[in-house]
Amino acid sequence: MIALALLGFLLESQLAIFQSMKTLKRQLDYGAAAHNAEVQLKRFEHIPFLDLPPQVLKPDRQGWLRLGQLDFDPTTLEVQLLQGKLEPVVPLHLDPVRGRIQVPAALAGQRLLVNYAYFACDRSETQRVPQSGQIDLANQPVMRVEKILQAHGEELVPFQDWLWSLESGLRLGPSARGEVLVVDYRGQNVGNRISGMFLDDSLRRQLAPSPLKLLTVRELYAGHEAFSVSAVRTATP
Amino acid sequence: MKTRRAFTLIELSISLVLVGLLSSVTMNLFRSWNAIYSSLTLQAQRKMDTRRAALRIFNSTRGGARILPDQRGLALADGGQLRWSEGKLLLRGQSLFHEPLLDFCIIRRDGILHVAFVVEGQVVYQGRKRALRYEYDQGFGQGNL
Repeated sequence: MIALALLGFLLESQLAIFQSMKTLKRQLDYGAAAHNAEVQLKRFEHIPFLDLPPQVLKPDRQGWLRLGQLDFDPTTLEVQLLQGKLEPVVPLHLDPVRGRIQVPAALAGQRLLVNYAYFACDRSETQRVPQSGQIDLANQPVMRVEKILQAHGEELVPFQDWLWSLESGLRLGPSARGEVLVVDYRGQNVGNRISGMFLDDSLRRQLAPSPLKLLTVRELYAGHEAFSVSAVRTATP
Repeated sequence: MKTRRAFTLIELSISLVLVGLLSSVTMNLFRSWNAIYSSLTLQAQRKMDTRRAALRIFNSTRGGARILPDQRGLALADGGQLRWSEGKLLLRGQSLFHEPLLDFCIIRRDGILHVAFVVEGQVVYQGRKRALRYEYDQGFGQGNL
């Protein structure tokens, strides 16, 4: 009995350590999410108003529409015909990787209101490439490498000597060794899901296009939502 | 004749084996949890230290600063310098970080300074071993990777 009581005590103390560990992990994750959210808000300043959701777009002859952002979430996609009353349109094909959708070709040239949420790239990770030529990105698994910049003092120039595929990961050419690279990429563990809506003059939601958009960044951790932050963008800076 | 009640040898053996098994399981759990706990505590500590260093760097650039060509330092407008060399990060000759700093780089993007620290110590993150790295942007509240 005494032995069992001692074991119970030991087990209880371990559970307490486990709880503290979970709390610490949550704090670290929260820090990363807070940083990501701030980075995304800052990034909105550099994206044209018209390229952020919701968008008004005209399909080409084949009915393809190119969205302003890649990696949209297909479950959030809404397409409506802007002709007096808004009429829903059912897309024929979705291509989230390239940021395209196809609607019936009969709608070519007509104004469509397209709303969606998209997964934004983390911006960014800065690393000095070791002699091995391999860098280890934090947000794994990597789903997309958007671009890589090379630092030269105050300047950042595009770096071209790289290849990325979902299967083999990121491969850097020999010219990268010893250089400081800035990698814009999207990882699966921490996700930035960005959605938008039009606002009227009183900052209330409206379906029809307006020169005001409310953009919301939702931070996602392994499928769980950490928190969200919002910002209002105007059509004119 | 008076009979005495007691455990048999078999009962005692079984009890001892069970206690031994439970102790072994508990000790293994203790070791693994303790390792993870120490790793997370180390991360939190290093994050705090690097964040403080980043804030001091950003504050020192208020008068203006130019990034050195190797991205490992800054030439400050007042003639001072921030420089990483041989594991030490020195701001005007004063060390910003007490632990060995494996690498440091600084860039400017869209007018915002961004610093990255690589600190001694390895953590198991998403099943992979990796060095501790922390990155911060000027004017942003927190940040780590």
